[in-house]
Order: sequence, then structure tokens, then C-alpha cells
Amino acid sequence: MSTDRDTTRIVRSWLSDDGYESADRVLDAVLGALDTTPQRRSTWWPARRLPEMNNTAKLALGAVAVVVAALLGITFLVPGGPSIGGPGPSNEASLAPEPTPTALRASVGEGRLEPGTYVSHPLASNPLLAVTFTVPDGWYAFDDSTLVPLGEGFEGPDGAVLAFLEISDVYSDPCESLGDPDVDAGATAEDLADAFSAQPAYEASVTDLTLDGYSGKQVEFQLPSEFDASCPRDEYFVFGGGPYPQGPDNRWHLTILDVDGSRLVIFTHDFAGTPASRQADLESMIASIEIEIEIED
Amino acid sequence: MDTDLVVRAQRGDREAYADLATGIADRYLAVARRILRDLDLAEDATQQALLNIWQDLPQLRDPARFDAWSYRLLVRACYAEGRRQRRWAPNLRLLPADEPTHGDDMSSVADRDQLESGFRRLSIDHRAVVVLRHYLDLPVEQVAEMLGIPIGTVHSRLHYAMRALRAALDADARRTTQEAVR
Repeated sequence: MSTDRDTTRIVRSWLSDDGYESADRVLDAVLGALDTTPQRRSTWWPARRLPEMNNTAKLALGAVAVVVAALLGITFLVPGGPSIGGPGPSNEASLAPEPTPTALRASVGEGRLEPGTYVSHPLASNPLLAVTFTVPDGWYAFDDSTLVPLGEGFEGPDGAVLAFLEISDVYSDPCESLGDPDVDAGATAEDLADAFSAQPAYEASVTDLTLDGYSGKQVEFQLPSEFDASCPRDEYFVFGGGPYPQGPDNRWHLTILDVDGSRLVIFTHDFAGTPASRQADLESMIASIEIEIEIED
Repeated sequence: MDTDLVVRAQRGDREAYADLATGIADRYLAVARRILRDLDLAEDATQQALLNIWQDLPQLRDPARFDAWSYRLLVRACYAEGRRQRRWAPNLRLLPADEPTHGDDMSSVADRDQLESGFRRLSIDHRAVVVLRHYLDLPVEQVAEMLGIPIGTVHSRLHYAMRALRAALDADARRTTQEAVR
């Protein structure tokens, strides 16, 4: 009779002697398919906050602020003086044409966004769908459809996010998320809400709503308090492309709208510790949203 | 693993991914072939895994974890091929026997045959643990991370699999002894 040690030695030897095949044929097929195989967009967010400014930068920014304040003072004190342009409300709003919204672009390198009106085109399936909204002070753009509060950042215990997403499918088990999502989520807001509420792995409450004249569904998620090695937080995906929870007890709020045949998801998340001012920012940004299908040139 | 290549490939650099895939493909095919015991299935699993890795790379949060993450995708592709094999090919095709080795470690062709049939009776779950632990020589903790299962489960699968393989070897030894007595 063999011992455990014998068995291990024999199995190791058998595995290591078990022939060799070149993967050239496989590689040829894979490399040939790359051009027609798009990568899935990442919606995970890095576990970091924007770095604090150093003293030199603070002084420089302070000096710029003083100059701007002086210019503004001159502008508004001098009768008939020129008005300062840029996005955002103005004293002459009732007389001047509506400001042209600024295209939302990642500002991770530059820091805060200038408060004002921005436009995002978040749907790959319908690039003409435009979401216009007003950004308050103290937020930056992680990419061209995601806004994050400066300071608190994405993560718990006090982070928050506003993002515009396109979701086409859902995982029946968020812990089994390395392959493709296995639940097709149809084409309408109701289909997606139904797909969420049908999954037993998490709690998703659904209500009806209307935003900017478009009807849809509001879905509220309460995500797990704990994650372990068998299902780490950064591998817990509810739908294709993420995001994953940004901390324990992360609360997700999905506004899903049917917009002329397209489905738009307005995603916000927060935590119990997210400051009330940031909650108010999220509410005001959503309340300001205007959606339109642009006319093709 | 060159994390710079991983980061570039995450950003959609196809040349970087070609270099990355070229560096890992032979090893991944070897692992898949040992788990699935069939070259055709192993090639399909490796091909699918390499494409899945490319597609999902932007979602890999920590490039330093590329090895563990990508092996996990490979093992998942092996599961998928294993399921397909069960669905469409209930009669397994035996691998052609390699030339027997004459070293001390592999005592006989009979051992090899017994291991082959004993290993095939194991589930893909058990085979994957044996291959990662005894072919790639990975520590149990790393096997657990790659497969996304608790360390205790790795230990129990390993224990079960090795006991089954030992039983297969012992059965062959008993049969040889009985034949010699006759």
C-alpha cells in the first residue's frame, strides 16, 4: 500500500511529465479576434481620494481667487460693465440666452469642476441621448459620465457618486461575476427593475417615477454589511460592468428611465455617513436633469 | 508578471495584450490540459479564457493581482468546457499515452494508466485544486484565492482527490500482486 507521501510524489511526477503542447494555434485565434472583441467598460472606482493640495498650490489658488473676486467686483460695481461668461446662473439670466452646457470630461487631474451646467452622452447604444444637469461646487468628474465629491470621494463611510450608466444584463449571483452576466435585462425600465427584484441575492425595492417627463422605475438597493474572502467586495457585481460596493452598507439608488426607446440609468450611491450637504447636492443635480435626443448633423 | 503590460492592456493596448498573452498562453494551455485531460477541450478553454481576460481586464482593480485573477478565469473556462464535454461527449476520449518515463518517480505504465482513470473520475473542482497545488506548486492560500473558495475547502478537496488517486494506485498494486500469485 502506498503512503500519502508516495501518492503526492507520484501525482506530481505524473503531472509534470504529462507532455507539452504549444499554444501557438490558440494564440493565433485569440490575437486575430482582439480587433472584434471590445473590452467591457469598467465602472469600478479606485479606492482613493483626490490628493490634498500642497501649500504652494493652495497659495496659488488663493491668489487666483483674490484676482477673480476683484474682477467680479469691478464687473458688478461698474454700471454697464462687461459680464463674466462661463457656465452657471447669472444676474442677466432672464435676458441672456441659455448658457451652452459644457461637455463633461474627466477632471481627475485638474481637481474640481467649475460649478455650472454640463452635458453627458452616456449611452454607447444611443450617442445622441444627451443628459444636461447642473453641477454644484465641490465635485469632480471621474470620467465623462461620473461625478464624485471632492474630499469624501467614492468610498465609505461618507462617499457618494452620481453616474449615468447603460445596463443590459444582471448577475443572478453577484459573487459569481467573473464571467458574463447570466440574466438578460430586456430593453425597458420595467424589464431591468424586474430583473433586479427577481434576484434573491440582495434586496431591491422598486417604485414608479417620472423624471423630466420620462417615466421609469426607482430601484433602491441595500448592499451587504460584510464581505469575506469567498466573495470580496471588489468581485461583487450586481450588473455587467459594475460598479462594486464602495464599502460596507453601501446604498444604491437607480433611476431607470425609458427615453424614446433607449434605457438610461441614473445611478447614485451613498452611505449613512455621507454628509447632508452632499445628499442635497445629489438631489439638486438629479432635479436639474434635462434629457433630450439630439438631432444628428 | 509585468504590471506595466497589464496596465497598458487594461487601457485597450492590443500590442501590450498580445505580449501578455504570448507570455502566458503555453502555461495556461498546460494547466487546462491537465485539468480537462483533453487537448481539444483545453485549447478551447484557453482560447476562451484569453479572450475573457482581454474583455474584462478594465475591471481588474489591482494589476498586481493579474496572475490570480487570470488563473481564476482560466479555471472557470475549464469548468465551462467540462460542462460542455458532459453535455455533448459522455464517452471520454482518452489521451494518447505519452512515452513512459523510467525514473524512480513513475514506477510503471500501470501507475500512469491508473492515475489517468482515477483523475478522470474526479470532478473539475477537485482536478483544478490538484493541478494548481501539485503542478503549479502553489501554496494552498493562493489556490483558495484563485478559485475564490475558502482555504478549508481547498484542503478538503485536496484530501479527497489525493485519497481517490491513492486508492486508484493501490487497486492497481493489488491487481498486480494477485496476478503474480496466480
